[in-house]
Parts: sequence; C-alpha cells; structure tokens
Amino acid sequence: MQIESIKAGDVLIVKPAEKRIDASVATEFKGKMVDWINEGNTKIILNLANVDFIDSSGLGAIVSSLKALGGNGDLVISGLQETVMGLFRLTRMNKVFQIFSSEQEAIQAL
Amino acid sequence: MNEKILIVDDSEDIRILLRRMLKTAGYEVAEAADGVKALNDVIALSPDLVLLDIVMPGISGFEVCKRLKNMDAIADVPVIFLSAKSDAADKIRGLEIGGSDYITKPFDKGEVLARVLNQLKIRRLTKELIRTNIDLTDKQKRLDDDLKAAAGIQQSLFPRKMPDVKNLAIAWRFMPSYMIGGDIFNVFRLDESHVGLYMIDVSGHGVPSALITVSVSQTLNPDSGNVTKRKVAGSPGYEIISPREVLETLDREYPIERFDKYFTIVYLIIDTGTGDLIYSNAAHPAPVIIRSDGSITALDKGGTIIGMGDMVPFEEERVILQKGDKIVLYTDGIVEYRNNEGEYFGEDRLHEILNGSCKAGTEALLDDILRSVNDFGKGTEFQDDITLIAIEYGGATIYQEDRYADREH
Repeated sequence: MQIESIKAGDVLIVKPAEKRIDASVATEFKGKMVDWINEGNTKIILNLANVDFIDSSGLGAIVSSLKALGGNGDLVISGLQETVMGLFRLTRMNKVFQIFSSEQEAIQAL
Repeated sequence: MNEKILIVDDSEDIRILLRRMLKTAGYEVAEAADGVKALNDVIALSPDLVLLDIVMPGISGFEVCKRLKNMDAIADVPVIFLSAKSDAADKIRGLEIGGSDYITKPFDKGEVLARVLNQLKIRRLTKELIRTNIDLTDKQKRLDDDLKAAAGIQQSLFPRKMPDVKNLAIAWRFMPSYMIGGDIFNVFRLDESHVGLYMIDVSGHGVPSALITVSVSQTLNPDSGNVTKRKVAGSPGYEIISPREVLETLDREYPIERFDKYFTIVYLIIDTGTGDLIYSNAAHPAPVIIRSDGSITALDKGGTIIGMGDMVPFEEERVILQKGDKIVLYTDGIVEYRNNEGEYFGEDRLHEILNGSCKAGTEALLDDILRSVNDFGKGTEFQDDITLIAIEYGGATIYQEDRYADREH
C-alpha cells in the first residue's frame, strides 16, 4: 500500500495513494499508522483526498489508529470525497473524528 | 545422491564408456542393449533419467521414447537422446515426442554430465513443486471445507422459524458471500407482547468476523443472557432492557481493541399490542418504515459503531406503527453490491423498489428486492453477505382480542 507521509512542524500528514482502503490493505495501513504513533507522532492528519471507497475493514483500521493514540493526541481527517463522507455520516464517524475540508485548515486547528 | 540412470544403446563400447563416466560421477547405472529390453525392464528399474540411442536394432529410440512417455509411472522421467544423427530435423523430432534434451555423438564427457545434471535438477524441482502443490491443494481443500462448515454453523443461528406473532408478518432472506461473513440477525419474543429484533454486521470477513457474530448472538439471547432482558424482584419478575441500554452494554462488552473488529447493529423492540416501536441504531444502514401510502421513514437515530467505548452517546427513538406499515432491515452487503461493471447497487435503487412494492406482502417484497439484485448483478458473486428482513404490522386491535383469548386458555 502506497502512503505518503510528510511532517509539517509537529504535525504528521498521512496521505494514502490508494483509491480504496479495504480488507486487502487495512492491516498494512493500520500497521503503518501504529508505527508512526509509536515513533511519537501525536498530531496526525489523515488526508483521504485520493480515497473513494472505504469498507468496514478499512474503517476499522482508521478507528483502531485513533484508539492507538490512546487519548494522547489527535487524529483528524481532511479531503473527504463525497462517497467517503457518506460512510462517515452513516457510521457517525463525523462525531468521532474532526473533519476538515483542507489540510491547511487541519494544520491550523491542531 | 544416488540417482539411477538407464543407458539404452546397442553399442557395448558406448555403454561401458557412459557407465564408467556416470559411476565416477556418483550415479547408479543400469543398461539395456536394445529398446525392447529397455521397455521390459524400465518399470522394475525405475530410473531417474534415461540416456537413449536412436538407431538400434529392433525398435528405434524415437519409438522407445514415445512408449515411455505413455507409461504412467515413467512418463515424467527425463529422456536425453544420445545419437550420431545430427540433423536439426532429428533433434526437433526427438524433443517433440517428449525428449528433454539431445546430445550428438561423438560426445564430450563434460557435456553429457552437465546435461544429465541439469535434467535431474529440473526433475527434482518439478517433483518438489508437484508435492508442494498437492500439499497446498489438500490444505486449501480442508480450509474450504472448514469454512463451509463454519458458515453452516453460523447460519444455524438464524431463526429456523419466526416467532408466531399473529399481528406481525415476518420474512427474511440471507444470501451468503463467496466467503463466510459477519452478518447475523434474530427475531425473538421478549414476552407475550414484545418482540425483539436485531440485525448485525461485523466488520471484515472470514472466520474471525463470523465467530464474533456467534458471541454477540449469545449475548443478546433473552433466555440465557441479561442484556436484552433481566430478572427483577416483583411482578412480572423481569424487565425488558431498552434498545439504547442494550447498545451501550454491547459497546462496553465489545471494544474494538478486544477483537480488532467492530460491528453495526440496529435493535428494535416492537410492542405488538400497541404498535409502539423503540429502536436504537449503531451505524447500521437505516431500516425503513414503508407506510401504506408509500412514504418512507428511515430509522437512523442511535449512535456510532459498537466498539468505540462510550465516545458518542446512543439515542433511541419511538415510532408508532399503523396497520399495514412495513419495516425493512438490511445489511450494507446489498447497497455495496457491485456488478461486473463495478457499479454499486446503491441505496436509491433499493428505495425505488421499496416505493414501488409498498402494497406487496413481506415475502413478495423481499422477492422483488432479490429479483432486482439478480437482474442488476447478472450472477456476479456477492462480495459481502446480504441479509434482508421485512415485517408487516397487522394493527393493534387484533392483539387485544388475542391476549384476551390467550388468557382464557
């Protein structure tokens, strides 16, 4: 799975290059997120601009990443496409995650 | 390394030369002076490789090779032709009838040994590959059988018979995906006038998701657990737990960290006497109520997925059912079902059918949905389980009379 990761100050921006986050990449995705968290990253922006589909395994990986922060930090989302926003609304993840329309806004908020 | 090589050549000199050479190189050697003897002895000798002359009295080397390749036990033993015939046409023919290599006489010792070594190596690797392949196919078959058995066990948890509630007509359909999935549902009596109903979809696929469905369905069993119903002092001796509280309990019991899975659930309690419906929906695709006038209400009050651990509170909502109202519950397997062109079945398509079939009975309604799914998918395998439940409310008054009748028995 291709994921870009860039550091902007103390914020880590993570941007999957895949169009789908599903069962085939979920474990790898979660593994990478947990590695970044274990390296001491506490402010993370997940930019989902390239992603147009997330299945239940994919969503589980994102939620598990948030849980891996264990309250010491924040994982926020940016760049949601309409289809993925639909999933976030249906599962009420929009109440669990802070969602920003752009990376810039997210960086400012963190 | 004691591989056995059979030399078939009518020239004794050549046989002696080859034997000496091959023995020195550590091989076991057998000999035949003509094709007939070679074919007679080959099975008993069971060589690992045959060095075969072409021009011999009796049958030719080409013919011997053809017959060897027709013997099941010998067919995969490599044959190297060793011949004075040096025309390209002969070499091609030799390779075409199954020879693995072709060496022309007079030969160079080093070349013969190198080619023999090569063919034996290929044979060894091929044998290993075949063995590994058989092992893998075997293991895969056992796994497939286990998965099928597991799916059967999971499906045995589905209600075999719907509770016989006179003013509720209940129908359900389940279409398994190509692998065992994480859908489960149940409809059960909580007491004389209350029916409980849930539909669950555990994240992911496969055995872990399926095992969680088994665990959750046990937890929700009103007769064995205390999550949906608990004993209390005083009459009537039990308390039916509200949907919101049931979901809160599940959220505590099944944190995502526990199995690295979460699930969505919608849990409804219907008072069959009054048409009172209370539900809470934890991120499950919203069930819909189709009123007899065709209008559709989505049951979307609740909270987020089960497993977040109190992050977002759960709400519940009360809805009053009227005679003829239908409730349809489904898992996302239907809306996320993709056909060969990669198009999603989608919620709109589902709502369109529900709208068009608002006058149909529960069984006919589900059949309409399935027909539409099949027309859409044209036989494409289901990527996820699809579960559908339809319930029609028969009205409040019937129940009142029934209860009275029940009491007289």
